[in-house]
Amino acid sequence: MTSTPPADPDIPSLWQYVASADYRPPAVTMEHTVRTGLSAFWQRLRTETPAPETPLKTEAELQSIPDALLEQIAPPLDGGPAALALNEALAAWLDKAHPDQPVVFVIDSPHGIHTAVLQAWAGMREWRVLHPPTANQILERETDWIASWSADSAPWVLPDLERCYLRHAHGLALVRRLLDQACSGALGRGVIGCDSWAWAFLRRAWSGAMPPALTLQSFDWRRLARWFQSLADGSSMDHLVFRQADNGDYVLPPPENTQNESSDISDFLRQLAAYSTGIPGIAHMAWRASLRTIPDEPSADPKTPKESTEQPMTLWVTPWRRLKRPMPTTGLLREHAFVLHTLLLHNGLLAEWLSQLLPLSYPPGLTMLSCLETAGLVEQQHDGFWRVSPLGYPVVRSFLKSEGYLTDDF
Amino acid sequence: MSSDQAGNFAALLNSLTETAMVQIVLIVAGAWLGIILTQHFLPIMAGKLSGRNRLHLLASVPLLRLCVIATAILLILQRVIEPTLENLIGLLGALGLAVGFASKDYVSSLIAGIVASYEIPYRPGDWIEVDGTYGEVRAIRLRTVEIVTPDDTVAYIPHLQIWNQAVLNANDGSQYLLCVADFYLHPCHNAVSVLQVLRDVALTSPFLQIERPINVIVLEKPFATHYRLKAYPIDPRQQFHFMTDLTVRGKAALLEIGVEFAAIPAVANPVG
Repeated sequence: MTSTPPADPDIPSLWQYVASADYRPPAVTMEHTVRTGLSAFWQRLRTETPAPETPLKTEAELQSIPDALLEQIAPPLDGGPAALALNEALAAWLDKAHPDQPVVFVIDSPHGIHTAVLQAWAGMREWRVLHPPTANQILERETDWIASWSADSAPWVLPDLERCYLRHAHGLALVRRLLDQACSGALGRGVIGCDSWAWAFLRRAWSGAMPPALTLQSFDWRRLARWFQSLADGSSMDHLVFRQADNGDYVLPPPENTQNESSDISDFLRQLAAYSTGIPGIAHMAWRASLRTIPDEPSADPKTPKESTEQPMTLWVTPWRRLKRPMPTTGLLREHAFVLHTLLLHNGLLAEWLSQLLPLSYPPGLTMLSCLETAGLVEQQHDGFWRVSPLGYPVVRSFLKSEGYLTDDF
Repeated sequence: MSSDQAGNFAALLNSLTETAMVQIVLIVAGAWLGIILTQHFLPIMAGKLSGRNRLHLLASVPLLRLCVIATAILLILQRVIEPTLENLIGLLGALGLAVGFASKDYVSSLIAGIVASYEIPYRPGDWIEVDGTYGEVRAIRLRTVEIVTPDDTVAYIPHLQIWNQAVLNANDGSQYLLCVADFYLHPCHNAVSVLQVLRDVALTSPFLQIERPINVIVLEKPFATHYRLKAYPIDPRQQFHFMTDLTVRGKAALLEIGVEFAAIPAVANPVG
């Protein structure tokens, strides 16, 4: 039950769903390993907050890309292309009138796009989308929520299983009942999306046999290059060239007719793939944060039509070592490990619920969240949910794993 | 000791040159410095680490000290005597006499400390109980093991306790330490529901090491049904927070499902 390979077997599909067991994180470079190891060791030995990085000289000549331009060359994630890949992966299952498994699970890492993908896929297949229960419904173990939609025999999609439980003594009964009924076929045919951390916890909290799950294959540096290039190609800007700010190396392969004294390929994407562990949402956020342009450059106007730009427009990419990423101290991580872990297990929480899921000895949730937000480790989203930030996630995951906390499989 | 042996030993000492004396002093000073460094800096570095790495580094302290002492003794012996059988017998005889006059318990503790270095009944980072004193092993010194009790009191326990006292080691070098929370409930209740609730209380504790099993033991007592909720915290140092969390949330969850706690009726003390 995986997506079909492309015509050229040497080039994998950009978006590809595979069985969870076939998930392969991108290869980590030796430089990244050594750099990360030394940095982590130094962070463990020091106690004070590290001083901010000094900017390069060339950084003064550059500025962040205007929002309008950024929205064109690196637009927000769209679940549509991945939904097509998911449809291919589910083709065999969909073709069967009576499949062995009544439900299919789709697992995605934090800052993945499983909710958007499953909503897009449900729209494509005209399956109904189920909304998760409220927190009160979960804690009061109401089965009315399941009964409210299970009477209809039409196939369904539940995009966010992580919103159906709380790590609370009374927060597991509802999701257990849901999984019992769904996996037994009592709820008909459905697709369930779930965050990978919640999946890791629920596998231990539910005694039933979890059916095989699909997951989005990781993005290595080649796949990232193709993806970012395709995003740039989709903009109204033509002849875009992406070069590393400090040495002029090409981050994305240059157009064939481009002549330049430097034609080396930067290792930025290799570093990015290793840091993001192949999670597209994290790589995408880092890519957007790294893009720079020269102020008042005439061709930087996104309203300029494609036909009128003859010279290539250069976009500068901040060198990986200069890209600002959260560098929390071990003391800060250790002090707030419970907060970060709880946020990850639920793929984000409202502050008032977070306080109820932490030990009683902890200070109020907002105090801790403000501290972590200042360190760049968490962020509040438009819906009020607090989540671990995309650029902070790799650091937090690595720390929690080293401390012996439950982590996801990806 | 016979007069011949005493004469031989005196001859041995008389043969020491000034250079050898300086070397011995330097060796003793170097060994002392090495021991101080390992005892002070390795625990500090271990404090920066977590989990098994911390325990492994702490456990290496007494072994390194033993290596330093053994090396120093060998180096000194080479400078004091010719390593012949006769000389060794003479030296050991003199040492035996010294030990006989010295404090038996003190030497017994020193020897027990060496035995503890390879039998390893406790390591730094272990949670042990010796003769009613419970705490985390902070350091293993030549004569004593230094533990910190939950009340933040440091206790120095002589190694000789291992000869005739049971040493209870709760985690035995690993990061897994079993914690138990006790609940005494009124006998009239649905035990199946209580079992499920208590399991979920442990499962949803932020302190829980979820990769280890959760067990609930039920015992019927004359005055109550006794539930023992057993689970492991992520870090042994969190054991008391973990047990508090289990107890507080367990009581709240049980009250919410209508379970009544057992209460022993008060009995007035007989007068006189």
